[in-house]
Amino acid sequence: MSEAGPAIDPIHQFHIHPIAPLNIFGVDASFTNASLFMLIVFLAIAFLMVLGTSGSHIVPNRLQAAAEMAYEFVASTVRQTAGEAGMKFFPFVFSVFMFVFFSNFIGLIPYTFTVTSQIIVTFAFACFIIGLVIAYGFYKNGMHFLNLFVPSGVSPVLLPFIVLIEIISFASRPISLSVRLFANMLAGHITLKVFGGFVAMLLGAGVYALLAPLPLIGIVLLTAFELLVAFLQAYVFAILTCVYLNDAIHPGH
Amino acid sequence: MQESPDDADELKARLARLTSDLQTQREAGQRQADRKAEADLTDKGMGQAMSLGFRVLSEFVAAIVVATLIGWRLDLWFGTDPLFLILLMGLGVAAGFWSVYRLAVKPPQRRGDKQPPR
Repeated sequence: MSEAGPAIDPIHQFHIHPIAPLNIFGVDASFTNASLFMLIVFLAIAFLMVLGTSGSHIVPNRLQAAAEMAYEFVASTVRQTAGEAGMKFFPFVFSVFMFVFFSNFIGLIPYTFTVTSQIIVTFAFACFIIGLVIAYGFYKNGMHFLNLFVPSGVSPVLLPFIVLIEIISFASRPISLSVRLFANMLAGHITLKVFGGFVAMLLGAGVYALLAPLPLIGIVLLTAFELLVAFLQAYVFAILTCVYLNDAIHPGH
Repeated sequence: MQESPDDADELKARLARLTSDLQTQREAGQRQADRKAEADLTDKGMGQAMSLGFRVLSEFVAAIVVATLIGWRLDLWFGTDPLFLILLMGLGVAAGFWSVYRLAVKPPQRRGDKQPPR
């Protein structure tokens, strides 16, 4: 990951370049490296889930154990945050969690591309989630859904102010949801790259080459930290999806 | 067939023994699960704190940014240059604090009446 040239340019890894150019009616729909890694992520998830559930041994093998752990983890998250009524959305939350989780992890392998480090990907996810919340909220509760913005037990003097604040905080949800995931992945990968650049630069700096192992140790520690962040961000993304869906299922605090 | 009362008594005794054995085992399992959940909680303390931190930070910042953007666009619309920007920036800060407050207040209640989160 630390060749002399790109090592100095930590942004290089996020460039999107077309692999198979494709233009449909003036819309650039090329198959890019981002598309390639989305496909890889999808295939990895399909591989895990299809092979993991095909055997159904009583004593699970490794793949089956992994698939069952993923299922149970997400299922308990959904149950705890959105209740039994939220299990309707389990397939959706599970897909979102697995996609984000696998993109984060596959992106940590050197020379790969991190799909979730593109704000447009995370923002599309967040917009879809909020759109789903609004659509389902109105479908399920009708105009009662607007009670979400009117907390109970607030004095009438403060109420317009609180309602405004609630609307702003609802409107900021897609931003906070998408920016959190995107910024964490972007910052983590840039930090790793910059530390890699330090190693390369120190090695070429005469006596200071003695210091080169220090950032190398830093990279090892940071990689462990990035593994934690990769999991945490997928988890936070899934749990917030559940929290927002919970708002749609039971509006009014 | 002649020994049926004896058999029945023995069966009853064995059933009772089985029930009590099962009960103790179930209790032991429950205790173990409780301990494991506790260990998980302390083990995940770092992860949970970090995820909460990420949420607080991003929600606070996002509320201010979104409110400021809305204010800026409203000003462009109505030509009231700094009015809505300033007003909504203040509202955005309030919304940021409000959502952070809600985040900080909710978890203990939820943890109290439901299973502790993994």
